[in-house]
Amino acid sequence: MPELKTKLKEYRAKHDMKQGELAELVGVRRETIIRLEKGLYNPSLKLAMDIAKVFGTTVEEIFSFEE
Amino acid sequence: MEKTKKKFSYNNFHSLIFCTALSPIIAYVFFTVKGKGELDKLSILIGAVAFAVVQAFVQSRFYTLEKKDEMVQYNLAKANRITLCIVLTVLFIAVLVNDYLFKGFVCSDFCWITVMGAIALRSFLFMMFDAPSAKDTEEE
Repeated sequence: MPELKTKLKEYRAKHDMKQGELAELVGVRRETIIRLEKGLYNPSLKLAMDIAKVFGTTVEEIFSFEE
Repeated sequence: MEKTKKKFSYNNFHSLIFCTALSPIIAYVFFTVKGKGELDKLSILIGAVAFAVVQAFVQSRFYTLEKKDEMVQYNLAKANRITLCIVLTVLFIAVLVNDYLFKGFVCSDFCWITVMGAIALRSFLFMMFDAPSAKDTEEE
């Protein structure tokens, strides 16, 4: 099964943003962001797009699947 | 100035549901074991429902629930799926036991204990799935 890889942590660091701040901007809990960063949870398309929008980039740039 | 509601995590909400659902079962077991119950089953259930209603009112009035968070919904769906499987298994086994092994199940007791047990189990499983580890909660 393909594994979710994410650059969320890098993007967050680049924008000097805390997990809680990002969580508030996209309307989820901080725990969700934590698990997303660890690749423990696959986000919905809406959440992925909301996150990409916050960082001004594309979904594919932040999230990808690896075999 | 807009008054902001305090956060009441969905996990906390389910710990309340868990306690509410489990209390009448425990009370029932205590009364049954003791052998001279002073409350009837209906009173126990009405008490649990009254407690749940008061809690729901307090939460909706003073707290914001995180129910819309998609990971909450994901964890709840997992808990629902497991609970459904367990309830179906229990009911199926009960039919077999009642038909072939031990006739004399008290149907009303069995039904309400199964229902309240399922509610408690669903909340318990949700709390298990949703509980973040200590490492997870560290701010990075």
